[in-house]
Amino acid sequence: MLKIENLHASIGEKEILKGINLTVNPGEVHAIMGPNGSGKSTLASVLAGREDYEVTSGSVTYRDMDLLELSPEERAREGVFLAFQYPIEIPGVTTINFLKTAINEIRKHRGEEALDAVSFLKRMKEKSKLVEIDQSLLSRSLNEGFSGGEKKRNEIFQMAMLEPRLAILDETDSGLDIDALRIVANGVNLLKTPNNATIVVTHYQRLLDYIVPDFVHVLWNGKIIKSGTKELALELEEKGYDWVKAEAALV
Amino acid sequence: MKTNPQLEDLKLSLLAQIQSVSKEKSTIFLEEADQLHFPNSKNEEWKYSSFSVSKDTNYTLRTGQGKAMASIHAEAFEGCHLLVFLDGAFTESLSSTEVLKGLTIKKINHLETFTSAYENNIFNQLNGSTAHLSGLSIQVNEKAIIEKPIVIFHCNSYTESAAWVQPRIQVQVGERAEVTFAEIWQSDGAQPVVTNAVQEIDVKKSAIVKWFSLEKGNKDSSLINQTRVETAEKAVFQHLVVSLGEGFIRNNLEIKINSTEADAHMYGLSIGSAKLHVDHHTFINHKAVNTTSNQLYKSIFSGKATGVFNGKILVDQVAQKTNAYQSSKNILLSTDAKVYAKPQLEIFADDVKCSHGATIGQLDEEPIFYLRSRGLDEATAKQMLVQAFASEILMKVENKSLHALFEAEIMAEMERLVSK
Repeated sequence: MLKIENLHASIGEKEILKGINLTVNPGEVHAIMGPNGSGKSTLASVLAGREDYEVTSGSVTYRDMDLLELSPEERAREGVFLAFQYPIEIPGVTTINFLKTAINEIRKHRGEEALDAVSFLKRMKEKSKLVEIDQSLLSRSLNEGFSGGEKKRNEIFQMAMLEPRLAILDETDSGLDIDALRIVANGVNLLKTPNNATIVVTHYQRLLDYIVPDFVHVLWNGKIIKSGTKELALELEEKGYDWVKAEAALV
Repeated sequence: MKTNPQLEDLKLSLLAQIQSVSKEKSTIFLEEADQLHFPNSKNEEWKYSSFSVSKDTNYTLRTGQGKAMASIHAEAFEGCHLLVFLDGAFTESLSSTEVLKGLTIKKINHLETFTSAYENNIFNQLNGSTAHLSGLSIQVNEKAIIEKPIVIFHCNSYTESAAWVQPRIQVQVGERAEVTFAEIWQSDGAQPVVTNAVQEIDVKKSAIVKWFSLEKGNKDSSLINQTRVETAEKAVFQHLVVSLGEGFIRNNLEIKINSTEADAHMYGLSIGSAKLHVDHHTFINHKAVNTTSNQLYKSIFSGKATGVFNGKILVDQVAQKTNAYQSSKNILLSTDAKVYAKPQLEIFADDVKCSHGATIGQLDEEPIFYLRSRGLDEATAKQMLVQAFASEILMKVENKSLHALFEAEIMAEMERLVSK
């Protein structure tokens, strides 16, 4: 589904990603871990198409397309979804309002008919239950006056509504208490199918107690320095990152 | 003061035309006007808004008697009472003929201004000189609750040359009465038109008055509004103006809050994608204890549109416990669009809460990216964001009929804005 090869990306003069290689197949959950400043969020942003970053070399192939050639909206319509680390507030724009437009843009792109109001509301009701988000929040201005947990649940709610093929969760666990974490993780697990894939970017292991990854990658200094299975996450939790860094330095 | 020779000629021409139609009732005004000049940019109050007229054009003073136009679509004002000013004069035959209960409507026969002008200016004197020919006086009875909004529709039918029109409206709203007015300004653009309008609104004790204005200009139109309001104890006055299209618009809004516990709310929304020039000059005078004023003026400009916001708040020494807020928020979508924002606070009382602020910027990148990352294209995302920006003002138009009317005009303008 996704193949990242030797990806280099910079912001301004500063190179942040220094040769990322990663392959993600349908049905898989990949966790990307690493200390602060290692490039985790940059990777998520580059995949979603944020224009602040410049890709200097390498390639990203997504379902036989050159992902880097696609605009952010084209990526979304092809099924890429980014759950933001810091969901922003947009006064005057309600979640329902832009999601309805978004879903229909995506459907149009796929040659499907627009969703009528009744089906949309039905889907909304169903998915809001899944992430335990109060429906009244969805007809308010996006994230305005939402708690941290509500903002993150709203991201997962949008993901549920848009049914992406590739979801990228950028530090969705940061700032969440244990209940919110469980709700968010539960939502992600319920949305998992053999056809879609998830990349979970996280600083802490605790989210992985709830979302069990198939693969764990350690990102440091713009490179993946170690990959493994879920046991690697537990080892990192116990021993920190230093030993991985040391190991990488030896190679 | 050095004046532009073209404007000086215009003044002489207007004075002569007024004299020929009105005789003695105009004398005082004409004598005053003769001593005054049209403002130029050296005048501090007109620094960023230069009043000018079309070159080599003779302006014909019109005081009514226009041909009834086919273009008055009364159905657009369904659910409202309709009063029509044709070629600058109130025209009874085109207005709602039904008897409005609680309301007295009559032509101004002899002008007695019941509000005092802060600035003795030529526009004011010129308008006063023809008020007995074209003006309208509206009296709202005590305790009258007028449910339907009263639409005052201004239109022009004169096509033989450029026209100069001077509508005048005087409104007195009795104690505890409630009423909503909406002025709709339209010119079809066949000929240049200058509209020199004056509104005087006297709001008595505990009355609630909402005054809306929808200003739609074209490249050859100029609209100068001088709106003077006085409010009594516990009165609530709301003024909301939406300015669209092209041309020159100058709104002078002066509110004197004369007595205690009265509120005044002022809102503006300007949207322009071409050569629109909108100048809001507001002047709020708090003259009693425990009064509140609140101003929010927004604009979204692209192309060569220009906005001016000059908001003056004067708090008299006696006006303790005044709350006065003022905010101007502007989005510029092109490099040629401009906004000048100037707050002026003069506070002589010591126990007051006053604030002012102005923001001028582009649309933020972050919300655009957020919406694009959900599948919206860039133009749709931008449109959604400017609509959201405008909705804060639009939602203050609560009456259904008026809301629909304002919304349709704002959306149409917004499409022109984003498509450029």
